[in-house]
Amino acid sequence: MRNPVWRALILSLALASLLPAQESVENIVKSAPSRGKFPEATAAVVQSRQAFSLDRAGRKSEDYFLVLEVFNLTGREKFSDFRIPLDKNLEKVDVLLARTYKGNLTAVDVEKGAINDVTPPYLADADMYSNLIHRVLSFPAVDPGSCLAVRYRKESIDAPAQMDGIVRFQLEEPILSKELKVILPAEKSLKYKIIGLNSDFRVETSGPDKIYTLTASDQPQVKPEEYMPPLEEIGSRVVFSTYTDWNEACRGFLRSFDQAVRPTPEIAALAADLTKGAATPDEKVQRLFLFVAKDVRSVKLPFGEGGLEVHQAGVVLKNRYGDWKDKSVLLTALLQAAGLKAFPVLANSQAIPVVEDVPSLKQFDCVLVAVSQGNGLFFLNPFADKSQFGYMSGVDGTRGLLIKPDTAEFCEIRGLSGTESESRNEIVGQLDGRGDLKGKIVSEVTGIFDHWARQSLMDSTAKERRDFFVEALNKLQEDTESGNFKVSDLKDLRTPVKVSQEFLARRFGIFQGKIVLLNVPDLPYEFSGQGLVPRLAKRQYPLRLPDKAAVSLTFRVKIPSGHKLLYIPESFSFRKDYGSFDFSTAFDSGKSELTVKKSYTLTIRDILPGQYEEFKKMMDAFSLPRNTLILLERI
Amino acid sequence: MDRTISRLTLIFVFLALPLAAFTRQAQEKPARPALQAEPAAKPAPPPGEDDLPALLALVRQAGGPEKYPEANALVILDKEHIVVRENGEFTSRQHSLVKVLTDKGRKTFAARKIPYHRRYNTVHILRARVIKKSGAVMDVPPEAIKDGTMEETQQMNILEENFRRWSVAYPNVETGDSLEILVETVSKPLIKDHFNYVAAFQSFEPRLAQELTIVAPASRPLKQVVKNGRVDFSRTERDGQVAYTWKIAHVPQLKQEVGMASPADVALKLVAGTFSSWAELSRYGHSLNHGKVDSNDLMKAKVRELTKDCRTEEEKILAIHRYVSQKVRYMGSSMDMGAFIEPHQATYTFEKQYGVCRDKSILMMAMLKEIGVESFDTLINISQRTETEVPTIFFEHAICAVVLKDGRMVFMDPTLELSSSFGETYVGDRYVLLLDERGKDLLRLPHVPAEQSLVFVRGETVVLPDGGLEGKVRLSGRGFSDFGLRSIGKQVPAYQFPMVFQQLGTLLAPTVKVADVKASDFSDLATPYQISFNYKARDYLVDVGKYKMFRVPLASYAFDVMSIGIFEALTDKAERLYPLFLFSTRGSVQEEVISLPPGYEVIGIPDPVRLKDGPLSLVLAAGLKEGKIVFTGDFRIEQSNLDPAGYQSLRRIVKALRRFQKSMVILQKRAEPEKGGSQ
Repeated sequence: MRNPVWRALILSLALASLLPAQESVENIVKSAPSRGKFPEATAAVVQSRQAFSLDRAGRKSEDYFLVLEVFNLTGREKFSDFRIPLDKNLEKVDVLLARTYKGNLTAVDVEKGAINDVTPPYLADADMYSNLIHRVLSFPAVDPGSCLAVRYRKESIDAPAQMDGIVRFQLEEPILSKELKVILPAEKSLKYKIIGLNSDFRVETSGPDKIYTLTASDQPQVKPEEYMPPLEEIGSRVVFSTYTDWNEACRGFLRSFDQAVRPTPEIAALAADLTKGAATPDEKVQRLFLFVAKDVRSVKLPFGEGGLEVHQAGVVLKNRYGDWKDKSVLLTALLQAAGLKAFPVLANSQAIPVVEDVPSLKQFDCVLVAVSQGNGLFFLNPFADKSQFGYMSGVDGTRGLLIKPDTAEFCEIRGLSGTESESRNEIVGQLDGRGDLKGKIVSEVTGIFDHWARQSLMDSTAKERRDFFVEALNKLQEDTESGNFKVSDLKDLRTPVKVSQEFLARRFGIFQGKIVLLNVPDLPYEFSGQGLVPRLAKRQYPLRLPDKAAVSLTFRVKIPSGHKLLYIPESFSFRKDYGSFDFSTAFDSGKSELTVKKSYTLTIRDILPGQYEEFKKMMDAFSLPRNTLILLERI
Repeated sequence: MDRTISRLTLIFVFLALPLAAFTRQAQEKPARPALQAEPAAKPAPPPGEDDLPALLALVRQAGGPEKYPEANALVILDKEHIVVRENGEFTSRQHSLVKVLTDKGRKTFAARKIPYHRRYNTVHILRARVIKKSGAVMDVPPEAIKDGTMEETQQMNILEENFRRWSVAYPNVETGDSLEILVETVSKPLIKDHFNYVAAFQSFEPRLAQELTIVAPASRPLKQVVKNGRVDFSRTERDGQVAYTWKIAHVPQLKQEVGMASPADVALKLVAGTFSSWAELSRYGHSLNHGKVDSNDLMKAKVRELTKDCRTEEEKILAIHRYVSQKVRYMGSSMDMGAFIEPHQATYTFEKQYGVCRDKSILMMAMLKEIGVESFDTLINISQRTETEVPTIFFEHAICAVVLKDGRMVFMDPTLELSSSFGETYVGDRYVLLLDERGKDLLRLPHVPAEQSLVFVRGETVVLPDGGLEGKVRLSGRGFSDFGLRSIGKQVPAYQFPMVFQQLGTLLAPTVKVADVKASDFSDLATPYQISFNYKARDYLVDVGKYKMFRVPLASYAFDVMSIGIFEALTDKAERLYPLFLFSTRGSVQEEVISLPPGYEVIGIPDPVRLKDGPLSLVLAAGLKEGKIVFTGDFRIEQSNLDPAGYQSLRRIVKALRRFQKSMVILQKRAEPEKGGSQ
């Protein structure tokens, strides 16, 4: 049974169903549904088959087959240029079939000149790191009603000996039929998790191989909604791996990281220089982190895409740029050189939960650094050059893989205390008899709001910053004059952002006869949370907030003499499992001062569809016309 | 419209590599000069390429953030020497030195891209190094110089691996360091025996010294013009070669503005070329089409099929236009020698059913020829101005000029999949060049008023006794607005279409619930495109004891997808230095009839607005008619590139709109008639 010829024969039989002959491709095309069956889809996957094979020599391959029907011009634009991702140093691809089948079954092949290897646009600034290209097949003669048929074989050039992957069974387009095969030497075992499907792998032994087959049919399309969890999390999928455990899955990365992290004299000298005079270990960590975050340019290449090799920390220091692996290795090296215990942590920046039973590094896309302190850990994001020190944007509360020299274990990633997302805002002013409002805005923000503030303002020049504050006032009232403004030191990542701004809003009060209309303003800046508004009436998928958050606005205004209060909104307060919502109004007739306070606190990130309607109702309450209007009457 | 800025745009990159200054800007965002006030300073001669001490001296003298507080980087030196040969081939040697002033500058300039085309250009990076603040020099290691394809072309759906760029990653860049590069590029002529060039003397960074020399054969005299400012110019002739030199120093930076016109329109720049007239260029362009406007039996049959039920010339032309625009996908690959500007055979494009703008234009011409209609392949600029003084090939796009029986000419764009009108409205006020065997001069097309590109939002609204609101809304458009609405229909998947109007509706009321969203088929160009939906919003009225008050719902412009972006995102700046690019003249008409709850009378309505301000106008009026409130809004912009003065008009218009939007309709409960009533 170990005869390679025999094995090849068995494999080819096993793959026979994956690689249909031309006649059967045409039959598949003939079976394509009418557009009327999927009125909301731009295309449909008529049939998709993927087979991942690992041979005894440790080489892996993927056989891919797809027939996709295009329903309209939108689908044509989206699918007519088919991309095959390819690491040109590690893999080779043979395109075996690339053909358009028109509605009348006329077949038009993709011509040679329409097959091009291009750099993926998202790697535009990272191509010095990656050998990843896209082989693009540009299909000719595609019309609504046409089917595109693709078949290719991708093989590893080296022999990685193990195999892992994530295969999605649900897309934005309906899938009529999908099959996944994983073919392994019989002595290998497969760990896997099937998410969102009711079926399981069928396991067969065929000669020296074990064949795992999973099929699914009529998978509905995912219809994306604003602020929902990523499609990769929402859709049904399979995560599989032949690694026995996480230690084995991490071995290659760890080996490379261990070699790269060894401090050079330059790193030791830099660590000593940066931490000179630091009073506490915390201060050492801060100084070393700030150097790596701010002075080493971040190359945005998702972890794993350029391979797992890590550059030497000394080289990263010399280059002053790096991807996730490289920046984390430099930070770890500096921390270790300063006598601190630090380790890399693999994480998922989109907060897609990691399947911990299946050891596959493909579940991670970023690398953080954990510093051991007493019995605990605290985490550093080496890319976070525009966040409060210790803020874990997007990954706070998720599980990451802590990789120590001897073991890999999961841990909960937490931001530092004091980096919780809060936005506290105040607009205070004095109204005069012409309706002009003169006042001051103060905004103090932490966590995600601090991050947004730094993104908006940190790199701005003095004039750009001035323009920012002038333009922000348009939300209060068009053409409001900006007075003095102050911004805390944005380059100091240890101190939360605080801004203040004086203003004069002419004709803020609108006169209609004897009545003066005042509109209660919204949050003053985009970074303070203006956009956190649920807009959909209902949802099919959870609403994923950027973070748990506490947001408040106080609007206080003195009204001019000769006016009396005609209308002020009523107060309300709601308490729910997932947060609280408070709105209060008051009028101090002695001071002729109106106060409107609104605040909400959200204690979870995902608002589930069942909670959404109630949640929206409470959030809407803040901006109902009756709660945003104050009426005065001239007396 | 991204893809309408098509293949011809690439000429800017490949014919004019020094436009790297622009292309870098394009990676971030585009820009304009404020040069009129400041005459160019007398430049000193730049140092030699290998004179490191002189370069170090320049770096030291350049100044830093204290001198240039609004700049992230400083172009200390940009020197280029080009030698043009008789056949149009040329060799360019470019030497530049950029000083990094801020963190942002470091991130922006630490990687530099040098675009080229594998068939036309050979690029040699002769030197790339970092000059540290200290004066130490670090070479870029070979492994930090990588070859890849261009992202920009992929965005235009040109998936041709010959469109490439070198990427140079400078190591160990800190603020205060300077980045040097010396590149030699040997270019084959895109245009046989001719040379065309455009050079930017201004970018988003201040430029301290720039020198450009073009040495060309005296037999190919260079026409040239400098736009948006002045540059020192000299010309010397020796041994049949003419050296043209432009020098400038201390050029202020352009400023970024959201929605601004193309940097190429506003920057100090040189346009140069060897064509003697537009007519010569027109003839040349026509020569590239020779034999391309061909046909075969299948195409003839298709034309017969398309036109068999058409009664008029216009119907036939429209049938062909719609076929080419919709059936032929915009995509560029297998672009052979000369293909930037030389189209494929019409029969090839017909067979493959994909192509770029000139391919589509040629196919349309071929099909029109089959019905005896004359047409011209026509070059046009979309996002930038055509510089009329010097005939150059720098056009972004190709369309089709169709000659009608009565002699009128209609300009049709077969690249636009969703243009339903007979003739494009966006072409108004733009220059076009018709490619013709006898040669044609540049032609400025007449103004197309906003009237021809209006969007219509019509609503019937009921104010409910419980304080809620119910409404029916219909949207339609004409000209550019029809195209815009159809494009939204195409871009947004059917299941997300209701979400778009739901999201927009929250500008009207947070409680809005949009339902029954229906849209006609965006791709059916023969049928008027229409979107309709219903909505409800609770708690819309404010109950103030004896009064009930509400804002005029459609005055929010919430559902006007064509105008809301202008109001919400493009009018925040107090002033603009550069024109606001709006693509086309356009406008919006809102009509709403509001039924009131029984038992109430209207005691207050918002004051009307009637503004004619420069190229803009706004009319807003609410009045009582047969017990209902009738609201009408009419907003128009008569410039497709709104100049800074026009922008101030827009600001005033939006201010007036906002006041109207915040004003209230005030209702009062009618007094109960006395029992028994009066006689």
